[in-house]
Amino acid sequence: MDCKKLHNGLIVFCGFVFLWGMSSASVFAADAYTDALNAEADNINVDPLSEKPAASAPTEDAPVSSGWSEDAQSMSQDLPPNLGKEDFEEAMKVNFYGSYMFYNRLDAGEQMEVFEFYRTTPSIQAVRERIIELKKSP
Amino acid sequence: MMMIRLVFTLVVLLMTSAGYALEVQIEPGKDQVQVINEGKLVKIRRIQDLNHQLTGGFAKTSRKCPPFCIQPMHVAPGVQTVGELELFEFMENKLPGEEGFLIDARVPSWYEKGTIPGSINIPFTTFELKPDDPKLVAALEKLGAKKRTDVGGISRSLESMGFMGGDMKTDYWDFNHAKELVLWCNGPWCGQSPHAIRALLKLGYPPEKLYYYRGGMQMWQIFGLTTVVPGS
Repeated sequence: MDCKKLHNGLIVFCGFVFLWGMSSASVFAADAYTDALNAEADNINVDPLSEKPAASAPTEDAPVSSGWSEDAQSMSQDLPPNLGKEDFEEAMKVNFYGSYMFYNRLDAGEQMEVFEFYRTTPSIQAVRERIIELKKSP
Repeated sequence: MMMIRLVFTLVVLLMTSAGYALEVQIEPGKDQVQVINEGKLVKIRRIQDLNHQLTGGFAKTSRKCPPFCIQPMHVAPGVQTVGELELFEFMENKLPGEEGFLIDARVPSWYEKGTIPGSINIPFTTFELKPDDPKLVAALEKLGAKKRTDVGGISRSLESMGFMGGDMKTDYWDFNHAKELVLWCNGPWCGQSPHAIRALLKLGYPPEKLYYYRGGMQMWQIFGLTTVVPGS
């Protein structure tokens, strides 16, 4: 075998691995930041004395958010299992906003693939890896 | 007799006004700021209890850094940092006719806890989306920017030389009619609004139309100012 070609190929391969690692690191860095933000938000309560008293009926329907259910406030690292697609997306958006942001950038087919993958395992770590794999695929 | 009546009226007026004014004012002679929040009038005042102290999350002195690090006073060249009094002036003069927007740049999990009255929530992550992302497009259009399509090479060349209002145009956006924005987040330890401001600048938003309320919710809470819970 030609040692020079082998050497050059190895360098190129190492370059790709390095670039992929850097890209993944930035993805996880952004993800980790938003996860940290959401976790810190759990420690916050608005001082009741500074809050405006409840007024008359609002002019539009209050947004429905599942964000303040007990499940959503938990520190579990997994998504609730066996959710429908809409509930799955809502759970991601509320609990793992960074991952949701990247999921949202996938096309419809890829999002369905992630959802179907989630149905096999509710592990957020595994779901994240799937999202990144799809994001990187051509 | 007339003089006695005049003096008496003045004394009554003085006593009445002194009794009406709140003890803890915003600045001398001003004890409230009025804004419209979600279609309702909100009077922003300060907590009147002189013994009141903060408890909970905004009473903390320390958070892990990174990511919750002390932010610089000046977030980017050309972007002015403002305090509470400047913010009140902006609320009274720019918000009513939508000449400007007060933006809570925090992610929803923070916004839903409570926000500064008059604010709209555009998480900083929105401004970091791809240029053609519908959420980003909708946000920028709400802020007065106009989407551009099929911009010719000659036009762009002229714009790059400063003609045709080009100093406020990019390949994708025309910011000539973009609104003035005050962006804020949790306070001097929060990076969310600095992220948003830098992302907006990267999109081409004019820095002179951006303001950074560095004090954020932390200082708002310390001053005992009114907050609102969205949808309440």
